[in-house]
Amino acid sequence: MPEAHRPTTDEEVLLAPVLRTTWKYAALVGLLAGGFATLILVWGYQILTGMGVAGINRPIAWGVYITNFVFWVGISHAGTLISAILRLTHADWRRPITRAAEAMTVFALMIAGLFPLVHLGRVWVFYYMIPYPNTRTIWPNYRSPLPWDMTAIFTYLTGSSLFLFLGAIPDFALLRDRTTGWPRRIYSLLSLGWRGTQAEWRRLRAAFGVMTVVIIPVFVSVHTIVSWDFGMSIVPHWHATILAPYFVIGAVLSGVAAVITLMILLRRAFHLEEYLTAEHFDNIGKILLAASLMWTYFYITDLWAALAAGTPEEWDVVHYQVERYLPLLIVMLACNVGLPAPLLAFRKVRRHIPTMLALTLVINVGMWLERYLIIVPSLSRGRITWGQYSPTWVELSITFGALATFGLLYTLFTKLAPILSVWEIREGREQEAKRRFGDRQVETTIKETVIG
Amino acid sequence: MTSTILAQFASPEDAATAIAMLQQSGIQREQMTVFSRVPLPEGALEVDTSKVRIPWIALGAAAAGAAIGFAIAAGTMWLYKLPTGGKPILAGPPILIITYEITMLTALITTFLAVLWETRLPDWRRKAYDPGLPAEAIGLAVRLDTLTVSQVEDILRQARAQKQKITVQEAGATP
Repeated sequence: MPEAHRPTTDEEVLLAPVLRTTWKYAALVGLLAGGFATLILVWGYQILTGMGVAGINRPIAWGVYITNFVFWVGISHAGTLISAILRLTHADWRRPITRAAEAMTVFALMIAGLFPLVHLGRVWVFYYMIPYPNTRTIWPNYRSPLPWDMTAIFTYLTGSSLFLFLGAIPDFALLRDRTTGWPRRIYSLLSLGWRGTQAEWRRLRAAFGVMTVVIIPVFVSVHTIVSWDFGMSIVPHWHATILAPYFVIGAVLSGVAAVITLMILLRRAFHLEEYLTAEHFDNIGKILLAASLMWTYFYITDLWAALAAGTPEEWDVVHYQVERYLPLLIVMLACNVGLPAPLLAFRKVRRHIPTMLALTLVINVGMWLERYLIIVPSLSRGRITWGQYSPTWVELSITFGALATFGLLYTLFTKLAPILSVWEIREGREQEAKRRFGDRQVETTIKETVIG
Repeated sequence: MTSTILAQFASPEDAATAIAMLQQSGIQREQMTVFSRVPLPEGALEVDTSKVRIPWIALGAAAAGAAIGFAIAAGTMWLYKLPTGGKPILAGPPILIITYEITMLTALITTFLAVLWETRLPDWRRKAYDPGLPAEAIGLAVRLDTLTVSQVEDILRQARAQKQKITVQEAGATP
């Protein structure tokens, strides 16, 4: 039996995940599809039975579903951060990461958008939120932060999806030219007839220039607006102006951690060691360290402002958080700053991939707990007595089902488009050259003058 | 019927030499199309010099989006008044937020549509193109109006074209 051909060129290596399907891939899709099925079945059970099967009740009307919503919106932030900001600053090391990060943004936002629907209960009336002329004699109330959320997330999802698709067109054209049969027909459709002419490249770059600049303020505004779901209320410990930047930096922390996790898994699964090197993890690890330290600063500022104000309601919530949720609080602080910040300060740690995988998973556990500890303790403060909340099996099943669904969407995407952008990596290679400096040969690169 | 010659070059330098020689022989820039799998540095092969209007289109769309966002937020607040304890019917911050988001949404969507408009995509018709173009090669399509096929082939050979192919197209078709 002839030896299987091992991909060697850039094109072969980067297109291999799309063109070849292994039994491991199929098994993973099967497993994740099972998680998706769980989500649908359990959600269906909740719709048919009623919201009473979830643990939310007065006074804790927001629980795990809203925690998940905020968490997934946060995860989505790193895609834009890495892709747009690093493009804008001409950071050449971004090239192997951009598409993986942009795809994470799109699918994380889809999952985030699911949770307000799950939380709604009567999901069949969600269209009440859409502003179109109707005969219901009601209109979305734009004075509420919830329609701001819907508008912002819709804008971010649309912008991110277009950004992802635009960047993938040249690679769809490459796949069109390298495949036959029905895959070729699909890629012909997706590539829109792209030929790689100068006119096409110039316009693609111009579009990247515009979209990069526009999507950055959108990314800042989205999680700011999500924070205003809390900040615009008068619930103690929510009603604080610091919440907006606190949420944004928390989103950056969880999002960047998620990107690193995905990069490590993709690197292992698709043998991309030559493209995702220790250098990439070192650079992105520095961003993670900065985000962890900034998160700590905002957390302390939020707490300090509440304590310094001395209002009994604020103190009550802080006390309650410490009394009832002390173990979760300790785990959260350990996961978000106690472990990552000291370790990420070391270059050796940032370049050690198994450690980075462990740290990034730990950070996202911590960030999920952070959202939970913002939402539930504050709402526990009822008018007469403190409320109690415990997530039920329904909420936990939907949570893990949503995680599996994200994994499924992402895994299927790796079959549709090269998860590392072929044209961007090739562009980077062609711009590199080796030059002698003193006794050493060093790598130099052509200075980019345009964005994209 | 016009003929189009498709040539492949191993490097941008060879392609630049070919373009210069063709221009000296009377071939206009508009008759040539450069293809590549990766974008070339700005100005590397100056064949396409058409104006790129995408940023201006996006700016105009953003202005229109601001008006739409304002109408959705402020207009509907005014049309469907919701009195709440003496507070203003037209609330400033929500109007600003919705206006801002719709401005950005319109700018993003229009930028994408502007790319399609300016590149005349999607266009699935058969056009002069070599699907076998390797990643590192530069493709050049030359539409022949004045010179003969053999004259252009000679020039391309002198410029070290690796591969040449002739296709025949309808008169007036762009390569």
